[in-house]
Amino acid sequence: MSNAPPPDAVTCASLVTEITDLLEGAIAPDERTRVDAHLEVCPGCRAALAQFEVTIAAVGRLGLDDVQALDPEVLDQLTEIFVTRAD
Amino acid sequence: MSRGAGLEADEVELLRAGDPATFQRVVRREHPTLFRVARSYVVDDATASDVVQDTWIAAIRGLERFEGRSSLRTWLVRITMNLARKRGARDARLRPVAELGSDEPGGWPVDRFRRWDEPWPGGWTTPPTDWCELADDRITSADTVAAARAAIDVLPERQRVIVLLRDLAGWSAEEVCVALDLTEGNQRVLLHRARSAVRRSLEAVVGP
Repeated sequence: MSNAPPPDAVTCASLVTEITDLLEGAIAPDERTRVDAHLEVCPGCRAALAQFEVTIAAVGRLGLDDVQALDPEVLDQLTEIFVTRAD
Repeated sequence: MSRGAGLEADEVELLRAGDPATFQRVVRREHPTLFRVARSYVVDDATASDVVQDTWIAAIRGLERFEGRSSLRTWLVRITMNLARKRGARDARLRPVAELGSDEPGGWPVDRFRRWDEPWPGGWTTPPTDWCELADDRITSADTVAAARAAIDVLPERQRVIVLLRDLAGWSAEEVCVALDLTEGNQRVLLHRARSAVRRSLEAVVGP
């Protein structure tokens, strides 16, 4: 006898495929209700969601500050090309 | 994070009119994001700088043809991607690409979930740990950030650019869809795969 949950049931395995949809607010309202109800009772999935939030924050911390700075000479050259461009 | 459309229209007008101060402001503002995107295609900083420089030259030449149907920075990043793809083509063959298997939901291997013939099918076998309960310094450590960067570097092209633009540069989903010619649904699928792969790689540093 199959033990499989009904197709629209939220399981831990199905919820983790929807985390980005959830964070993007791209989940239909009835599915959102089911996901929220699952999260309410499932600490594992709450932790999974938190891991995604930490991941997103970690990517944000790569930052844009350490990129190779724009060489002022290059900026001057580009500006020269910009102002003398053929119209 | 989208800027006001009116402000941007003014900026484009000033650029078309040849205003050097506006040009320099736009270059300084967009340089870091364009550099990050370019750098993810090519082997070194110097080549990435060349790509960004070529982007500005192409943009100056193409300014008259820019129709303002997309935002200025969406248009710029498309130019960068095209140039970087050409420059990086030779390196690309050598570059490792690691994509998560489709049987790894959220980057968790399938054996982290109970099988359909077990009690609580689809439930966690070993639940993830709550990273938010860990000390902040573990999450913000240089190792964690380095692991995130290494994971992004080996993502397939679109996933790599999407996660950089969304989660690093803070672009909106709409802008990324325009820049990469994606539907919103596709953008979310690719973003989720990218985040899943990065999350997976952080496990090695932060814990399961």
